[in-house]
Amino acid sequence: MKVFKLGSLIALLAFVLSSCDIIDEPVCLDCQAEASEMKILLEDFTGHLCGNCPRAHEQLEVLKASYGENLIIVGIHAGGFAKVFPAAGYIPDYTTSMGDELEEYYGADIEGLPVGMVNRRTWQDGKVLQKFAGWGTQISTILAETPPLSIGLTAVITDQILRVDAQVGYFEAGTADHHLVIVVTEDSIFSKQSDYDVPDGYIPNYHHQHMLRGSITPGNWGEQLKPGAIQAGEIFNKEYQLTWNSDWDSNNCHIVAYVIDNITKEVLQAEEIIING
Amino acid sequence: MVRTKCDIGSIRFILYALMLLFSQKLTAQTKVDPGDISGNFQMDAQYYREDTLIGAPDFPENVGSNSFLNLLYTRNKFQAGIRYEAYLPVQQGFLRTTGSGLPYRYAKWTDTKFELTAGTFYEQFGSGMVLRSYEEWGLGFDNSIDGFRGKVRPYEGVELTGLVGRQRNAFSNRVENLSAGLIRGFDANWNINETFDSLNIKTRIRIGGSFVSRYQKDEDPIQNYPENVAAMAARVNLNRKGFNLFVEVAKKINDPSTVNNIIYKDGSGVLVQGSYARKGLGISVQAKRIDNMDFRSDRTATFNNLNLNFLPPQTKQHTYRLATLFPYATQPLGEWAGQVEVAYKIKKGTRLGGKYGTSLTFNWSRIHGLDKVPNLNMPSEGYDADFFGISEKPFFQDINLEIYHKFSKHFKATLSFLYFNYDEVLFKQLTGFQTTEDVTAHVQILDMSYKVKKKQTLRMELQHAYTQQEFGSWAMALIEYSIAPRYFIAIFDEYNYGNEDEDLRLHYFSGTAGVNYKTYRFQLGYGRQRAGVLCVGGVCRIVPASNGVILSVVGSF
Repeated sequence: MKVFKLGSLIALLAFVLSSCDIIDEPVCLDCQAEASEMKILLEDFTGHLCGNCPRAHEQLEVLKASYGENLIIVGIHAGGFAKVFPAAGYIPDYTTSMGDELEEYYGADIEGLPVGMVNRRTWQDGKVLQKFAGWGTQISTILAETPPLSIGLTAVITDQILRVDAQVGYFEAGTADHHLVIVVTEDSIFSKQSDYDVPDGYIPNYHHQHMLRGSITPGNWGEQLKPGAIQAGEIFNKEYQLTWNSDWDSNNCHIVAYVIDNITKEVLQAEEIIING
Repeated sequence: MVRTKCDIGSIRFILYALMLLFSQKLTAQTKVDPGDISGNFQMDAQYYREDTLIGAPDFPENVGSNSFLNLLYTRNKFQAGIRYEAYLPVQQGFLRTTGSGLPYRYAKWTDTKFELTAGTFYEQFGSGMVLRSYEEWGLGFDNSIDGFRGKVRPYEGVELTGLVGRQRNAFSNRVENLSAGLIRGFDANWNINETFDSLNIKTRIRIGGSFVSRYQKDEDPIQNYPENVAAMAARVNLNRKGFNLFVEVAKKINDPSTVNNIIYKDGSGVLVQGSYARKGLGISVQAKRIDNMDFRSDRTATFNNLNLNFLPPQTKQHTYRLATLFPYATQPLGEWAGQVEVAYKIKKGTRLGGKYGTSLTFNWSRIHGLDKVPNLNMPSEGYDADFFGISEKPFFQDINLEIYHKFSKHFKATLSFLYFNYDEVLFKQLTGFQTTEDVTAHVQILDMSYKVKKKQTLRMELQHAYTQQEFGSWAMALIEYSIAPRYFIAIFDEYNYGNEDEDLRLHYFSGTAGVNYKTYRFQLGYGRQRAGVLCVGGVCRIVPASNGVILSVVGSF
């Protein structure tokens, strides 16, 4: 009996000691993301009334520093937290019809902000909407995969007309449900942002980044690439034109293109360029 | 499709189980104990109407319903139970997935010295600061554990509990939807008086300790997340005559998560609860310090999902409707909380006590944030906070007095005065409401009950909430008539007369009527509820307004 009790004590001690991992180096400074042809779209639902959202923005910048061009960020200002509230100084309306539809489709307001989508993939918990501590793992999971296609982009503004040329080349066969979506995002917009981690509860001149401004392709789910099945090796060249919105500073804008499977809505590949670059 | 298959399999399992039980009933004549079946069920359904005035959205299915059925089989030392749940579709405002299935099933064997549970179970260690698994149907909350639990009572007064499992996430307990983190837990509870019964120690002493660890794989190549995160707690409970003292301290090692903004600082919690009671007087004093103690079975989880621990609130939990407009929730990332409650009964036959006596209950709770200073030397630690340091302004304060007096055999009344104040930033965090100043509110409530005849009671509530912030002031009146124990009917109206926007000075009418029959209750109502924002653990979500007919059926057998 004594041997049994001693054994139990040792087992308990072993359990306790093996159940704690103390981390000395929170971020692996020497680690860099492995080279990958995959580019990932991370859509962050946000709003200037969302006081917890700046924490997600900070995490996005950490991820961007690690994954560089492999990570493409789109900040979607939509839902109840993106409403204007002039009495409290939240004046600009950053919502877009595309963002509103995405918010309604995925139910970000109900799930709770901040929340994002990594390639709009459904993850282990059965959800597309994911909280930011999981984004790094999800990005690295997708980066390890081989992309089925590539996207080439050019974007030029001439006489207030934006012309975007996209070339989509398939390494693998695709379906008739593949759609190309192209949107405009803008960096360096400054206005008031709610922030529960600062004493006043807001930052008067917050630096908004990656803000979704609008869609270049028709509708919110893009344009079908081909009515029938796509063969490996097929290349699609698409051209779009848009009258430039003078409220957007083209020097701070990016063109983001991605191909989705319009049944699952999952993003298969993405690309991002600056205008006139 | 997989889900459908699983459900059919589960239903088949139930049918087989029932057939087995039934066959045992048939052979009961041979004096084999067939065991007992018991259970309970509830169905809550709401018919939704679009109401553009209050922003109640269109509900395409028109009706949402949440239902469950518990079935329990007991035979001697063996017990097995299942719960079928159906959300078809899930009602508005609930973080549940539309669907149906058997998220709860267990088998348990209980002997004098041990108890084994396989399947789904609920558990709490101490006050819950390192582990509490429970369910609240009305809130749509359920963080049950699916796994294996053993309890051993090796000596009189000593109970050891060990468990391993994964937690339920939202609707399902299917393996693919259980928590990403694996939970291992151990708790020891020692009732010293039971062990040393012969010594007849006058002070009742119970001590305990808990250890909980979560394993979650780290697959992030850049951020180093601890795969094993441990939390531990020690507690003591002393009780002598009318005095009671409970103290628990807890610690959690580095646990970077979405909720704590990926900081690596250790967490800690201290809870002290003292009380004294004698005839006509009860005093309780509580204090709590919480620092970075949000603990979940998945580091990415937020809101009310996958909470491993429970940080007991130290504010009065109000039930009157207008008082619930001013809630407080424990801030797991840091708070200092204190609460005092004194309940005193003025004796019968005195001038203030009258013929039947008068009860007074005074309650005061005050919560401050910690005095956090950013840790610039180690940003990954987030901040430093002195143990006794508190924020300059309180997060929240609630001072309330409740006076209860029975005037006659037929008439009694409760009068309450409440005062709330919130720090502006905290109020935004709790409610999502963009106030531009601190929030204060005064609430008065008069609850009167008149016994019309034997078993027939007429009750009336008059409530008023005065505030210049949020949606402004409210008034409410309720009238309820009940014929015990079978029938009741109630109607009430909330009027947001103080809303700054004159177009939103709306009436929110509601009514409900119910019948109790044997062990069943049927309730039909109509309700109009304004939209709100609910914020928990660093995440806020919109709770949509609703307008429609509500049906509730509850029963047990």
